[in-house]
Amino acid sequence: MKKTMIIAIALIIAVGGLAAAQGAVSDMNPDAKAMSDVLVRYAKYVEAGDAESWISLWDIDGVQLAPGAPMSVGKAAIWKNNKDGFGGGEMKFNIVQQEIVVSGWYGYIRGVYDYIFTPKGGAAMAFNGKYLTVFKKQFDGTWLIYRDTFNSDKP
Amino acid sequence: MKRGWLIAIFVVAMSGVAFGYPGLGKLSMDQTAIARIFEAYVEAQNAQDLESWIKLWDHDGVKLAPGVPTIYGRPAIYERAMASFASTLSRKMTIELHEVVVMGDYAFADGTYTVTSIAKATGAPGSTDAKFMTILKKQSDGTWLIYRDTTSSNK
Repeated sequence: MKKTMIIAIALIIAVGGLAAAQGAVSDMNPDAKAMSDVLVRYAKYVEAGDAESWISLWDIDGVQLAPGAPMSVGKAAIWKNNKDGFGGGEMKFNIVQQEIVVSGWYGYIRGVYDYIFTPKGGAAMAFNGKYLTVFKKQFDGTWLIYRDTFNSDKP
Repeated sequence: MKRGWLIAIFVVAMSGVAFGYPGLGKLSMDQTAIARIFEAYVEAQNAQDLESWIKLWDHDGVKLAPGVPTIYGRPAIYERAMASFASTLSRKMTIELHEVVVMGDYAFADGTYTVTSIAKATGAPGSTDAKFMTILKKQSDGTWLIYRDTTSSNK
């Protein structure tokens, strides 16, 4: 139990988005900050349409629980089911981190997200929702996405 | 004393087997307690027993349900569930628990579930084929309660 380090931080409540979140994480425990950084890079890679960098954020045994489809089990399946979704237009993606908990080799972040996607030659579309992501610490001390689930706030 | 503990562990281990989570392998005491939360969840849903169902939640529980913003706290979760239970004449839920990972005083679990229901107003049948990820929190008395819960449809 002593080894268990619990850090529950209410970060940002739907105000300020990524920039504010980055400012708040400066005082974090290194593990919490490392997890937080993964989500910052997640948004950055999605915006850049960089699928290869995005998939590098996942644990080899990662599982994605995305709406409208069965679970994608394993990094290879996650790659297969997501790679074609990158690019194809302009993406503005904002992830707000509302809660971070680190406990041993695992941790999670919960929050909300919104994005505006403008397909090439098309009209902009706005979406918003919420997510819950579990991270796993690797043997080299880095953190990767182990489980990730999200859904829309709109019916 | 040691013998007493051994018997207790054996009984709990056997209980885990009796509950039937063959995919989870041998369960620890905490994993068994968490698996029982999901058993109770299903029983309460099928009995439309709102009072028993809400007792499975931590007071500071957060529900991330599709189609609505994040629901904070047991009272708000209760209110939303009350409306859902009231609109349903009957429901049959099944849960397939895929994993339970204990991380100190927190744990996460995920899996799939189905619900078939009959709407009270119209008598129309409904069905859900979905997946879930749940964070559970150990209480000061050693019991576990649902702390964060999110779901999304498989279709």
